[in-house]
Amino acid sequence: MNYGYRELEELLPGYLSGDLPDEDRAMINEWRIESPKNESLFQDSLKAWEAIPLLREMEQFNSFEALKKINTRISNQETTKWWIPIQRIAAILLIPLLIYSGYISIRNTSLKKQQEKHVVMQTISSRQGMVTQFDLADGTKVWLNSGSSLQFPTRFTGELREVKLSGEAFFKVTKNEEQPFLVNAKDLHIEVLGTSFNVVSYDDEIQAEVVLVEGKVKLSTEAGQVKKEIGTMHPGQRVVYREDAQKAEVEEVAVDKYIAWRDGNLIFRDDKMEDVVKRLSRWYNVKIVINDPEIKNYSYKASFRNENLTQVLNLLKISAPIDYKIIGNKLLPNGEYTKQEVYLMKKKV
Amino acid sequence: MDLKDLFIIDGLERREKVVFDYIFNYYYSSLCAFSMQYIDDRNSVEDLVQDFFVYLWAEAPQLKIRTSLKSYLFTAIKNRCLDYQKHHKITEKYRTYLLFSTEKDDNSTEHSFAESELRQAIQASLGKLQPRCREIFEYSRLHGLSNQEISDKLGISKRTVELQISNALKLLRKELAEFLPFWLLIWLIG
Repeated sequence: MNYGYRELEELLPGYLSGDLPDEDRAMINEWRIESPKNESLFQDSLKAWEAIPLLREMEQFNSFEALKKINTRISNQETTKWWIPIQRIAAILLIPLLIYSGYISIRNTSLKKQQEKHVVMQTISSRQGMVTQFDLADGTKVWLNSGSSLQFPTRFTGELREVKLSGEAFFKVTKNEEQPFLVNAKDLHIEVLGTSFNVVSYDDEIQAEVVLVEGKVKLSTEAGQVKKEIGTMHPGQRVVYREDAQKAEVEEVAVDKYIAWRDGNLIFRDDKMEDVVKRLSRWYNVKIVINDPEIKNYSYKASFRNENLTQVLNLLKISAPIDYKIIGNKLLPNGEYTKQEVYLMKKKV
Repeated sequence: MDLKDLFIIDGLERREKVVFDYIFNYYYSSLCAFSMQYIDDRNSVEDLVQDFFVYLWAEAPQLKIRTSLKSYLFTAIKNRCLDYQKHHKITEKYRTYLLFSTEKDDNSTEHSFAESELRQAIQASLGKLQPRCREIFEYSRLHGLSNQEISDKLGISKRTVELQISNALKLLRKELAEFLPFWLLIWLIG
């Protein structure tokens, strides 16, 4: 073949884009098999020709969207793992605490003391509809539910490992008998040596709940300056503490529905509609109003996962004699938006 | 393995979520594009790569990555693709590709890269072209214009367009040949 190198290479774009007449294509094919050098030159050209389309192909895959999916799956995985006994963890405990709103701040002397010793306090918050997982300085793992926040020191220096919670959280506490772990949720103190537990202390409730899955915890309260022991809880128990009456009641429960939020599940098992609404409104950050008092006492059974609010409401509508109306958020003069409002009423027959 | 790699692998093994997210965002699209050579289905490919990352997070402390991170990721994904093919009876066509790749190139993951790296390499090589030459090549490969359309648009002969494109390709193949991996070729031929 007498074709010059140069001349042939000029034909490559046409060959690669398929525009070349058959006879010229044949010529290139012959040239390719003539020598390995020609073939490798051809392959390099092909790669360079396709570099931009390959980049375009990559751009089709959206890593940010994919990461969101991964994050849900990762948090599920953590949940299943958590049942596997881990050496350093002594027990598992769940404590939902629902706490009164009007109250502004808690006097927490020991937290103050820590601050005086120049330990930096840090606060982590979880946005609406999200579960956030992180570790504390001692290796304790924390899951924060939607709209909750946790205040904690960057190092645990005192006699106690103290943290302060607003909202709902699950703790997997690293065992350290020398330095007990203490959760302050307003008036209620939960003291543990090494355990896993869930705490809720939303600011708009007058009652606190504690559900213990495994192990032992000591509960105490501090109203004003008066300290009071509530007692020691046993697995499978749920303690409801009413702040107004300063009274605690104990009952035996199935614990799984209280911890399902960690995998993004909402589980209702014969719960009163009033409680269902409370949890839905927190999870979806909406205001839910029950228009008919009769509805409040309906008991409800369902579990939700990854559904959006409308889907959940539609399920509610199908499975209970309930109808709903959504009022979208309004722009206030100060530039903020009001919460979305949902009205529940009895279904008209 | 460079220092940055060691640092990242260390962070991954200590299960630092920031590090994990970084790795994910950096390599996700290229691992998907890479898998497309084995499995010609976007959804399956995304599932496969996502499954791998969930595993990566769960097993991170036990991994003990000894190669470069990049090589580890692409090799792991390649193995998962091969498993997938075994289990899903991938068409003959894809099997031949596979033979081609294992026979000829056992270290096909050696020259892999992330989307951002490819973008940089392309931009750097395009930057070495004469402005006019680059303009014409970009019309052709980036915007998908035919040679006739380019010649109409710029008021130059079709012959000039062809010449400029072949000049561009000649330079780009020298610039990019080293960089672009063998697997790209497997992906293209056939």
